Amino acid sequence: MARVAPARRRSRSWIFVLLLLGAVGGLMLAPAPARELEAMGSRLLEPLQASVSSVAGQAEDVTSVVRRMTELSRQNDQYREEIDRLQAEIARLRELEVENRDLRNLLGLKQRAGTGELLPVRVIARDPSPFVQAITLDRGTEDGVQEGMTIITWRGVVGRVSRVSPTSSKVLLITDTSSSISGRIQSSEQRVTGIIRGRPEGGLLMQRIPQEETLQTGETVVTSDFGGLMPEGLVIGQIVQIRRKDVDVLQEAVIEPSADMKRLERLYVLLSPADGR
Amino acid sequence: MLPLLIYAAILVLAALAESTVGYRLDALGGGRINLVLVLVAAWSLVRGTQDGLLAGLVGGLALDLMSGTPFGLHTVLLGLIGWGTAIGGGTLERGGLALLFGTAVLTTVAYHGLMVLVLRVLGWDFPGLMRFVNVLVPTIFLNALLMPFAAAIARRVDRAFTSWRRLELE
Repeated sequence: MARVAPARRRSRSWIFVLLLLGAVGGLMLAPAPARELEAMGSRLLEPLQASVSSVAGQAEDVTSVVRRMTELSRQNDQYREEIDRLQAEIARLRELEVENRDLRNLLGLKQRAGTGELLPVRVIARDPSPFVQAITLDRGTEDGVQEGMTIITWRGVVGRVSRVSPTSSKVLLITDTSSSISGRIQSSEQRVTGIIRGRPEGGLLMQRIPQEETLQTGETVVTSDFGGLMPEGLVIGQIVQIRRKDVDVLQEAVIEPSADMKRLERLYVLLSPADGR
Repeated sequence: MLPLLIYAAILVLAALAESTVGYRLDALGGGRINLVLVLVAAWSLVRGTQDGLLAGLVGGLALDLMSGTPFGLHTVLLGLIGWGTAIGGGTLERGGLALLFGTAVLTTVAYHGLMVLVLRVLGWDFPGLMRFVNVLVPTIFLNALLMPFAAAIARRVDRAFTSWRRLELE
């Protein structure tokens, strides 16, 4: 490549500067061609500007979205924490409400059941045999539980302690076919009594009710002190069906137990013996 | 003795599951899975009458501790079933699925039939034929479904012990 002398290169620069100044001066002296040139340049640059501007706008949007997302995520975490806290609070309040209702009912139950002490117990197992309605409780003789004691919920009678060990006890439910307790119709002025047994198909059957007694469905059946097995006046259930035949001397009543035998919770042992009230 | 001890632990766990979880899974009109019964029957098929009897006694004792029925009832019944299951000469090596299902049906009928009978003799009320059948049929079905799994467990415990003992002898 031919080398250009420094003196020649300087003169070319001067020519370029003069031409440039001449062109700028010409454009200033003649505005019309300048505007045309400007318009042409703008026309050429406009799509490019629009594209770049759009891309820049989108980039800005993306940045904004990312910033917003970060912000929302932080807010979301805060709200979630708040929701968790409030849900825990609601659960605690519900539990307190249930406990409160339970205690209120228990107070009423205690007034009905007499002076005996109530020991809260928990079901830890059910009988493995489907033909036996029995449960195992988590308290035994060490806590004062004895054979024959009555197990209740605030809804009503559940059963009686059939076997007891130091730390646990077995309870035969009133719905077992082998269970037999004495009960009476609560509203009856004649104090109609009968024997209440578990039915194989579930529920209870009140037997040996004199035919002349008038029974009605919906009437409440409570325990009777006849036989001394249980304290008097504890709710057993409601009559749902009456079975009477004209030829029979006695009639029967099917009773729906008040306590939910499938979901036994918040049970209590009536620590005072039935006849010791 | 070791395999029986391992199997005894499994039986105790099964009894616990039966009394704490089993009743919650009341299926098909009141049918219940008799975990301990099928495990005892399977063990009897794998190990023979003597080990079957021992497994029955252990499983029955565990159930008696959790049951409201007269103490010893489950022990005696499952002991008898554990002993009697292998008495016909059927073994898992020779029998297939038919043997397992047949065993499940027969042992379930024997277990519940004898239980109701003994309870009746002891003064408990019979639950009624309809109730008995309504519970027994789905229970047989559930136990038959469970039997192949119980057999697999019994075989695995037995094989683990056998191979361990072989290594020890070598």
